[in-house]
Amino acid sequence: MLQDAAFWILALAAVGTGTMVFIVDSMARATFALLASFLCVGTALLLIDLHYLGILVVLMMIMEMLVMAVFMLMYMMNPAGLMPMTMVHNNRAALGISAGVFALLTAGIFTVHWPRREGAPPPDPTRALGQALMGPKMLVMMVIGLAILATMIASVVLATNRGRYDLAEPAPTPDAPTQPAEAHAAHDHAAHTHTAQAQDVQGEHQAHVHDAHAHDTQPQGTHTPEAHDHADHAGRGHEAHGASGQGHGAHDHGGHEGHGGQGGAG
Amino acid sequence: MTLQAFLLLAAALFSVGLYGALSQQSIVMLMMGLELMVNGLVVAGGAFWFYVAPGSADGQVLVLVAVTVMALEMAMGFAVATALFRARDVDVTDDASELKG
Repeated sequence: MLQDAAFWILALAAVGTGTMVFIVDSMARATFALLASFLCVGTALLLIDLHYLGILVVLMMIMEMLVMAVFMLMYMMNPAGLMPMTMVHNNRAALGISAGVFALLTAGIFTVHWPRREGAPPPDPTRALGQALMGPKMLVMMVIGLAILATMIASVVLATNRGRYDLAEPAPTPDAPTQPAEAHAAHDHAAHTHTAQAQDVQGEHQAHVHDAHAHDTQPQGTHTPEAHDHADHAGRGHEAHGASGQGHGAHDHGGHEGHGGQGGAG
Repeated sequence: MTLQAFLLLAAALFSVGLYGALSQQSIVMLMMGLELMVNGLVVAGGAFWFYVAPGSADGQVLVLVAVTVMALEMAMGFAVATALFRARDVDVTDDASELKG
């Protein structure tokens, strides 16, 4: 009897706070209304012996909603609820569809002949769950683990500030060379071959000089800071060019390798 | 407490979440609707375990999967929202119509 009363109070509170999510003016309030709804559901699970899962829902949702509140503050134009806020589209159709779905589900709930209860709850449902997950339901556990790993990788890849071709927008370097693309690529290609030969013959220091020479016709044999700088700039500028997505496949390859060799020498 | 009462709660949560997912313009609010829908699934899974087949742990495993899906959905949703926002300053669904299936 007491449990019945507790269930109905929790159920009403869960649905009420769930509805509040879409009524309140503030995103932060909406987040905490959703959290209250989850807490009610977690407590309701405790009523049917799901102690572990009930506590799991409560703890997980507290953390999840706190993270969500941070995102709310990041993305919302009205996080404090100082102004009335309705951001809906197609409101009447959405209301109609969801009311229809609720009516349909309710009709199903009360007309379907549900199967008779088989077995009794184990004395420790948590132990039963653990043994199932480590035994016959191991596949579920493995899939969950893989899905979590894939989500971690995918969310980091999506959320980093990069576009489809490395950089989101090619950062214009003020000192980047203003040569046309073909000539530029050819230069880099030359730099690559020069570097390779020089490394064979004379070692890393000389390779560095050859590299600079190929780009900017510095006097051979002078190992000046300018030579370093020019070579670096040319390489960087070419990288930016490759990132902008204009395909010069083979040239890009040579250029990047030349750049890498130069970096290793430095 | 009966199976029907729990399923009624689940259906109500699912429908409220469905309304939010269909009507909200903000991507974050839309994800809240999806979370409410999965919340209904959690209730239904727990109720089916307790009232239909408490002898096996299948219902509990289903609840565990639903809770995991909830967390993953939020992580991926925020990642997509962040990517959209970085690319085009978009945080409402109407401006992201090229994602329409």
